[in-house]
Amino acid sequence: MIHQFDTVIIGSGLAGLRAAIEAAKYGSVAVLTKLFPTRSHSTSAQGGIGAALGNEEPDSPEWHLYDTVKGSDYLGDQDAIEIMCEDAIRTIVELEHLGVPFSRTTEGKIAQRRFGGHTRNFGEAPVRRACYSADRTGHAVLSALYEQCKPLGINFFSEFHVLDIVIENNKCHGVIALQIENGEIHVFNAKSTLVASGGYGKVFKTTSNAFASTGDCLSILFNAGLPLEDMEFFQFHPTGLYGLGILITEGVRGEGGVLINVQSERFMERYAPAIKDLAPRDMASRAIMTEIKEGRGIDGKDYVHLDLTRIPNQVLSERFPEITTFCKIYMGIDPSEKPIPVLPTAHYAMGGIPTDADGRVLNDEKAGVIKGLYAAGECACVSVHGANRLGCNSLLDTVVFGRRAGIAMAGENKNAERGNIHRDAIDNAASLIDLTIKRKGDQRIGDVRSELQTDMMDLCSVFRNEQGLKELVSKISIIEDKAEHITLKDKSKIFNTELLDAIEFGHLINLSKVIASSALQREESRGAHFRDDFPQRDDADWLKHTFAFKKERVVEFKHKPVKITKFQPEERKY
Amino acid sequence: MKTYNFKIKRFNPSEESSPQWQEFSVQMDPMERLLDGLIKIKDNSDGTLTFRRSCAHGICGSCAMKINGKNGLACQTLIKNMPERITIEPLAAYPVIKDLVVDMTQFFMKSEEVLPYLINAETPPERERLQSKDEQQKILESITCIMCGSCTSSCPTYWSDKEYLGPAALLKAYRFIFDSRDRAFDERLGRIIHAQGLWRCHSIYNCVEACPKEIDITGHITELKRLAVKNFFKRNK
Amino acid sequence: MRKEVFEWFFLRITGVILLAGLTLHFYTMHYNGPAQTGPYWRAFNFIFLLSAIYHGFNGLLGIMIEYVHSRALQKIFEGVLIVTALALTGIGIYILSV
Repeated sequence: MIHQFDTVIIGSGLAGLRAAIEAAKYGSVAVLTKLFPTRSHSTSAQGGIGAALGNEEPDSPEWHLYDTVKGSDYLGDQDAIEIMCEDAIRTIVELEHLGVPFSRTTEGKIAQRRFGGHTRNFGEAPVRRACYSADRTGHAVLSALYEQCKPLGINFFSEFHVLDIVIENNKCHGVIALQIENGEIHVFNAKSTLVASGGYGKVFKTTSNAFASTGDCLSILFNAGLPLEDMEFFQFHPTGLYGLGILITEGVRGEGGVLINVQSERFMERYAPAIKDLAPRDMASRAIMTEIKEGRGIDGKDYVHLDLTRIPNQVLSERFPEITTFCKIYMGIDPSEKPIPVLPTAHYAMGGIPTDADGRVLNDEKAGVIKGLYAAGECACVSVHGANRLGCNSLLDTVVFGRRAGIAMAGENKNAERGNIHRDAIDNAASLIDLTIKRKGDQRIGDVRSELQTDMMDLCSVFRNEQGLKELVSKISIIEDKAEHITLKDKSKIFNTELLDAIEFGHLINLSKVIASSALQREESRGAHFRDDFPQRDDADWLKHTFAFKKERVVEFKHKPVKITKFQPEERKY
Repeated sequence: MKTYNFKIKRFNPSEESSPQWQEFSVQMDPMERLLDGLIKIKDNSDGTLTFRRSCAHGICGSCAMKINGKNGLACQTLIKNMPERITIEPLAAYPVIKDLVVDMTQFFMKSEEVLPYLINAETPPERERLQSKDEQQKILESITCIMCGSCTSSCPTYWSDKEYLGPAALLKAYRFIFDSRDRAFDERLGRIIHAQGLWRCHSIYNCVEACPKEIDITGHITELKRLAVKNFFKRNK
Repeated sequence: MRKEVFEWFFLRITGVILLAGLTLHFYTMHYNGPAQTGPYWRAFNFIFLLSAIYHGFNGLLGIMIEYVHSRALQKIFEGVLIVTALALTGIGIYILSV
């Protein structure tokens, strides 16, 4: 079936929906999602969305800018960060007007709380900057945006799995997708296409990410010859529930929760004397792993405790009902009575599809763009997060740059010609499915996938080194071969989730390779990328973005300078 | 590790005309979730087993199903709380697409009938609209709904009458009617006080028992009924 | 405003009347209570009768529309129920008045 739209948006998380609301003002919009819109992973965001509203104490966008730059370990592009922080206040107010049920202060304003790495007066002390809706901020914002799409007549295509994004002669023509329910192939010709497909945490074994976070679209674009930027930077959130990876928001540390080791020591005081437990995530994760490595994990095991018993009960039940429930259900622990076992969990991809500040996808390291192709949200790399994202900046990123992409697309659509996807591209997509279904061999998808995820976790997580990464690259290569021999039992056209698993797994392998190779080539430590063999940051050689390109079966690298405007790199201490 | 018996109601429309029961033995760690068990079956025994899942920690609403006769989320059901024999069926009252996957189109359509979005045409203030903590408290429980469909699927009225709006849609109406910032009170109330709306709720409380987010849905619907009556007398004074 | 709002409200009111009325009814009829004579008792029985008929038949109407899905059939059943209700009311009034 062939559809004609002005704008086609892949992904119905915050970035996709915010863009859709904008794009719908000037033309027809289709939103594709492989889930149902409100099931998008944005819904899992707990703690907050950052903006210097100053509702609880004085704050300024300038401080927010400084914190984000410093948090990014100076790899974030400062012009883009400035846009985000300057636009943050307007953005939050707008979300409130759209219906987001933010938690409130006693005067009825949007309530704010402390979050990792957000400080007042350029690093002096933590500041209340994260606007929240209890510990369901993502859920609250996603619901409101989805609801507001309804009266605008935006067309939703739920449970459509993207097979290809068609680019010809440096122009994006649209999208080919599989309707999961009946196995039918749909073609979406578009004037502009936005990729807002989210993250790819499923490359790691322990992750806070959803099953759907497999980075399909990044992998598709990479295979089409487009670059992926800064893929070595993957954030490990310090506090995932031990054994499960389910996230416990940083907000709990903003309200007084602390990390403790086996000696009941509040060890973050040693790593970040000024802001202690509110150190940025890369530092907190490394601190936890160091404690464990040096034998100070709880009972000699590989976890530490997150102690929330010092948060007043009323605050805990009012502001963190969701995580209180998680802890009770999954760990059998009441966090008001006992500390929770936690361990870093793969959480957020700083790297992704390179874009300019209006979401236009770059086709090289020199700022050339693909016509009609946009990206926003976690899948994109603007880059506002650089080497390490600060908590509550990701939701902000999605709505600020989602909106900007929506406006840019609406503008471009006025004079653009609609794409026209040719028969051979459609046939290619159909044959990919056929081949995957008919493939014969002795491998089972679950086994190979967990092999990949375990290898990535062991060799490419919080600490990395040359030997491990080289080993990983060759292991991924073997896994790639094994994947050629995966047999599917489900041959049917109707809701074939085994087929989707297989397609997604191909993308996971592809992205793992890019992540591992990118990590191997960056011979320094910066933000979330820490190399045991190069423990120092090296601004002379590495204050630059990585652009990874596909060349046959290997990855090739180019680099792009970091945009520095207001804040010169300095030593990053908290 | 302990062995559990999963008895699953399966249906593949391209091969069978009616659902069949199939049993699987699964080795499970007590801390694992029921969803982990389904994934183990899919990965190790039968790749054709079909179910929805995404976040795996009870916030996306994908994996609602009938577990030992009671609706719930597979990702929020810990195996240690289950007997050794576990019966799993798709949610009742929705058409089955395949195995545990049901067609939720009708379910979502119901919510659209109640104008599920904040309506306020007044020029907004420069900053946020103020809302007191008490006003916020009124809608706090209702905004936690994840649209998993467990409630409507458990409602005896909905079983026999598919025209009924159902608990999820009524809860959605509540969420906006009681939001101090909303201005479409009359219009929205008009959408739920017809014969197939509010009045079909007989306070059976199945929805409350089924809700994985522990929302007192029946209580919210009762509030709406009271409000409709109050409003009726106010208008006819 | 829609008639359903009033109907539901009246269902509640008659429910309360029935609760009180039934207690009284059982007490006088089955547990050697005072004899039901005089205009007050007549008024009580009259209200009691109307409440019971309204409550019962409104409930039946509600259940009917949950199980009968064709609009035409619904109308027919509605008619039958209303006629039955009226007939029973008539019989009730006749009995009360003799």
